[in-house]
Amino acid sequence: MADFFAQYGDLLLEGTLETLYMTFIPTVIAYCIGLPMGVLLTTTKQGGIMQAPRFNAVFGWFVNLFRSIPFMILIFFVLPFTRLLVGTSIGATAANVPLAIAAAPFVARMVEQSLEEIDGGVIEAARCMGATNWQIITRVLLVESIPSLLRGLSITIITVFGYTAVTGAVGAGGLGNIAFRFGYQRYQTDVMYATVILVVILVCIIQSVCNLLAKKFDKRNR
Amino acid sequence: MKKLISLVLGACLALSFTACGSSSGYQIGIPADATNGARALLLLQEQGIITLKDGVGLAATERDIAENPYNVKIVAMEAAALPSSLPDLDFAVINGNYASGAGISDSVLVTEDPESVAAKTYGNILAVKEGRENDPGIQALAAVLMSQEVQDWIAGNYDGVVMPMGAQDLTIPEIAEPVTVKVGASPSPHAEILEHIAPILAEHNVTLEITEFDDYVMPNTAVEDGSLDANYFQHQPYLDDFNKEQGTHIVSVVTPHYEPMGLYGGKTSSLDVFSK
Repeated sequence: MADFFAQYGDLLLEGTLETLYMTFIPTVIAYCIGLPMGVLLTTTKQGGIMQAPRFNAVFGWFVNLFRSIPFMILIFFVLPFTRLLVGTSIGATAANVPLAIAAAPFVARMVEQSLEEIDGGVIEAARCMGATNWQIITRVLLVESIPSLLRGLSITIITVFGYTAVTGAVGAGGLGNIAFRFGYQRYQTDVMYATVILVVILVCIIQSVCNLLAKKFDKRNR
Repeated sequence: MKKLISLVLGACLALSFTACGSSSGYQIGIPADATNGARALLLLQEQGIITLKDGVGLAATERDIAENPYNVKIVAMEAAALPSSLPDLDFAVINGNYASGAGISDSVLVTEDPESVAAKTYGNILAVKEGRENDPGIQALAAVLMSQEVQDWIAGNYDGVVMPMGAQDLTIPEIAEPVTVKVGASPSPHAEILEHIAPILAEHNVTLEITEFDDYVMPNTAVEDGSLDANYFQHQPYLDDFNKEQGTHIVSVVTPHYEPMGLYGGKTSSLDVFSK
């Protein structure tokens, strides 16, 4: 055991940090883009607070378009854009660009789903009190759905976490890459087990933190 | 609780930022897969850029670097992605086929020597089902592939991306009745070489039927079940592995060429930086 950590400890630590870096940064960026997209998807729906069915159909199609590109292809597809944005096409920083692009439409759909859960009566009530659309979105829709949004956040983080496994293709490293290159390709099963255990632990932590927060913000529990 | 969580998240982020921050030294891209990665490291060792631990040979990874006098950073990534990432790397070790496909052959600095272990190990072979090595059609095909004329043609036609293994004087058997030889090959350069020699073989009563494959399993299974007479796409270690895994009986006849890995210049265009 001590031998193993002496030999691979640095590799695993580096991989863990790279994975966390490639998980949290793209998630934050994806929420910056995806949250407004999700709000737009919900509110412009037929019967929504600013309904525009045609726009909604086109926008929904656009979101689906980006969701349907396989991630591995997306990495190479957006390579020139990545270079333009962060100045390099290799490493973990470069991997964040396709990760954020892949996660944003995913976030949009998660947010849409969370906002859909809100009772129409609550919106109606806000409307009766003279709330503007902007107020309804920021004070009612987003606030009321916080527990659900947080649960969506955990799913998003873990999905991005899964995506990071293939960013090794652009030299971004990460735990998935270590498991694949050293564990699978070179038959070092101990490395594979160690990475899998690390991944399981990390996913569990992410999930429990999000669950805890969701519970805390759920007013039904107060 | 909130404070604690934000503290933990903040620490994670800060740590990961430092881990992925800038690193000094030249970045050299190598293929991430096991065999190509090891080949690339051996080439870097040959150039005196790094020294590998004793005896790792074709199993080397970037973790087996014993000495790194120039403090280079090895970036292991998808072999096919290296040419498009070359502008962001100082150097990259790239397989000849990907380099020629991406049209960057002119930025090659050095390539594997024909005498190197890697070149000898990974020479591309003409393979047939065991027992068919002496078929006159196969013999003729092998002899033409290894002839001085064809070997010279390979040398002159691929800008060093595809290199001949060296001519062998094999005799072309007399074939009275015209025969057809069906060969499965990778599109480039294998099928191109075969297309080049088809007219030569036609003079010897052998009709060459070339089938191109993008896949590395079908050509072998087709040779095994007899729907192809021969194939020309793989190297010996791959074939050995395939035979073992699939229980097939395919053997090598001749090794016409190898596809050397080359060290290509990206942001830095000369190896002089490693002479200090």
